[in-house]
Amino acid sequence: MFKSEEIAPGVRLHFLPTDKYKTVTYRVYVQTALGQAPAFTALLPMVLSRGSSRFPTMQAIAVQLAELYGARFGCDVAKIGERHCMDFYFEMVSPAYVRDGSELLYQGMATLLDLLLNPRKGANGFCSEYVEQEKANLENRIKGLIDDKRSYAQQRFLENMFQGEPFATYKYGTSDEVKTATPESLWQHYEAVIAQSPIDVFIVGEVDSAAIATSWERAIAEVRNGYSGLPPVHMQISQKEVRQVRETGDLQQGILFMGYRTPVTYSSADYHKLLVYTGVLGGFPHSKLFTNVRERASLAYYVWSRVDATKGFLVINAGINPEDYDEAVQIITEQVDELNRGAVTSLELEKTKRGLVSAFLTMQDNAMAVVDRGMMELVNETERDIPETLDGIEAITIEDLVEQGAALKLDTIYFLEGQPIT
Amino acid sequence: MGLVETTNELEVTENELLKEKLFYQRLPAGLDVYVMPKQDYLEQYAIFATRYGSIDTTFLLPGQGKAMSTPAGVAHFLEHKLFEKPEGSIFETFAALGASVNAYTSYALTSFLFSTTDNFQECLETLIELVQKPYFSEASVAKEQGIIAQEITMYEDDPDYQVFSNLMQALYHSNSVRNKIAGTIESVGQITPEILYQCHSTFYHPQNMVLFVTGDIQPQRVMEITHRRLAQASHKAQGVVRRVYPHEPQTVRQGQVEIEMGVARPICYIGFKDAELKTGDELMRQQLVASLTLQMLFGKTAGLYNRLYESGLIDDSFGAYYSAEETFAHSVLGGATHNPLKLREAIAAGLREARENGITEEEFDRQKRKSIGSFLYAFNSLEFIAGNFISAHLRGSSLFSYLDILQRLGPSDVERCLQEQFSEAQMAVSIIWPRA
Repeated sequence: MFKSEEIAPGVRLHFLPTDKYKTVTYRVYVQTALGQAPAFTALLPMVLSRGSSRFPTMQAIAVQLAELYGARFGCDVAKIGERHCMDFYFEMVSPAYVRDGSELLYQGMATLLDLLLNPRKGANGFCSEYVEQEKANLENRIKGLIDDKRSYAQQRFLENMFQGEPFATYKYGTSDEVKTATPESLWQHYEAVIAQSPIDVFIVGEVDSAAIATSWERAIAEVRNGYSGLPPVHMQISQKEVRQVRETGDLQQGILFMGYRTPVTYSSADYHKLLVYTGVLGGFPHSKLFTNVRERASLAYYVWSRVDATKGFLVINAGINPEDYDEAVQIITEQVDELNRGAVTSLELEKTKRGLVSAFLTMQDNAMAVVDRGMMELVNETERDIPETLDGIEAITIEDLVEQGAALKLDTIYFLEGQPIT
Repeated sequence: MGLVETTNELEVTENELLKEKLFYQRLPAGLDVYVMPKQDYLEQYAIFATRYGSIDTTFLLPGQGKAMSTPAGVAHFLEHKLFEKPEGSIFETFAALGASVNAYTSYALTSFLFSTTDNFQECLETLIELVQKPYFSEASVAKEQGIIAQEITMYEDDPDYQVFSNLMQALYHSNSVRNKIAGTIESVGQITPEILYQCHSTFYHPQNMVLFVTGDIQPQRVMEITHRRLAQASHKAQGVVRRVYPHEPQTVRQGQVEIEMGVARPICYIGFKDAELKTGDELMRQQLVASLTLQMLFGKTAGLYNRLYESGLIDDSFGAYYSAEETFAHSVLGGATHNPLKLREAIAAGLREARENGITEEEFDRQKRKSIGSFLYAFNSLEFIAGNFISAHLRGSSLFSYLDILQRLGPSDVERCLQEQFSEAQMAVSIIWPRA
């Protein structure tokens, strides 16, 4: 579990001291409200990683990172429930493995702070070439979503299921919004989020936490001003009829998404019911979907179900031959109905619990996964330690699954299929 | 490489830089078994691999004079089919043990693995059974043909996969690296239970395989469990399987290959065929030298990369890597671009300039330092360690030699690579254009 301390209003450091890994990992999350200037939030990390005051070019940054034994710096944006987060990642070799390790570690942290808090400036806000180039890159990324058919279908599915809600927002925003960004307006956005948004810094590895806290406190004090909280995370909109959407694209395989709403989220007492339910349905190769859609009917190579525990929905995804659409939807619906009726063997339930427990414990070996979970818990304002999680999974009965099934409501069936090429 | 000692017949190698120990034993059945303990990890991870991949389509059985040819995609099909046993899918057995099991097929090898936090012994026994006890029927082969057809169709819609696959077709005349690992819907349709049994008995003999285990586990225990299981099957010693690879000219087959797909922007991959083939430690060395050269030419510290990025010709989808086995070797670089032909010209010009200017010692040292760090990072992941260990081993080298080989490289190695590879005569370009 992380040891947390608040170093300024809304700015928290979360330490996980361990010598298990050969590296020290930093993750910095800056939260914004999802749907408010999404393209600006997406553009910011891209511009920040072009240059800072000490490392003014991408090449200067790359040289510095290489000198630090190939330290890794990366950034992206992520949707966590109704939050749109900038996610900065920095990893470098642990002091125990190289000469002058502690000094390097300090330099690494200083590099990260410079990249985040001292961006290279232009005459008016950010350096204008960087903003123009990264606007073009971001627009290309948005238009290029279509290149990855599964991601494209997933985004179209989300836009349909969450129509009218912030959650329909694509994490990179729209081309039209990107076009409106100027070095000045982007700078204003930067100053506002750095001064006022919640900032969470996760540090995993063997470090001097007191020294790190002092450095961050000093650096962050200069940019912080008027912290304001964000609106509450949860929002449920119930829809009366099942929405069925079929779209065509330039592809051969058909991609099916089925979305179910649930009132249960990570913060609910019933969370583990939803988790185990999803596992029995389609979380594993022994699950109902894999054994029936793939192994029995031979309709798909991949078919699974997964839960978004922050937003509160369950999604099923399969790649199928478009001619098999009706059969696939029918088999999937039958499997959901069976599960909802409690047609689950104790062996199925047991296998799913073992699988979930093992996956959860394995995750503890991966620093990035541990941080992902830590951040998810923060956004959901709910903490569960390892024994609590394991007990929560073990306690689930078939009756619990039936109860969870009754709370699920099919919302949207989305299908992307190819147009016959003539 | 540190000290070598022997305890209970296990050979131990200690790597001081990595702070890791490796235990080794060759079992009577002919299988090489390695264990790298990771005491503070909750996960236990095992990988059981054979030197049999998609490129091994023609071979001579031990003691026979006539070569056998098999349809493209058999190695991958066999990997899928081994999961099915008379009593049901082996996925179920692992699930009951709380473990997850997986497998993958590459050009040169097929690997089966599990990850668990409990029931290690049963998991290892099941893994050995999974690999060593084949069961193929007409009905199950027919069923798998449907599933694999969907897998192949999924790749058909993946532009990155298509641009790469077309590049292999352009670089090579007859090498089986031209074939997709899964084969085609047609070639997979020709597979029968007999072919599968034949390939299994040829390539899944313990002598042709390696087992690697890592996690909080006693090496001696791994050896005992494995030995007991293999002894039950009483394998007879097998002669050497001779693999027949088609003759491959040094030249590239086609300078440029282009197709259209439903993409927003063109994708352009540029390949350089390396006609010099190596084995064992020399292969690892060649790989390291070429990777360092590519990092210096096309990595983010390189002037060329930054110029291309700033001119908008490339974005962060651009990458470069080197890939080599005993039968093929090539560099691949590229990504999305608005102007593939201009990118091709800019890369060719950049390479000419780099050849004239040569490399600096400072930049060489920096990249070497970066490579050392990257290797250390990778040792956080049991999956990385296991996957890379077995592939180095089956090529006749060792992942534990990596840092030693890297340390011994000098700027002149990279300079030679720069001068000798990357000539325009050895270059092929694969382009995907947005559909008109």
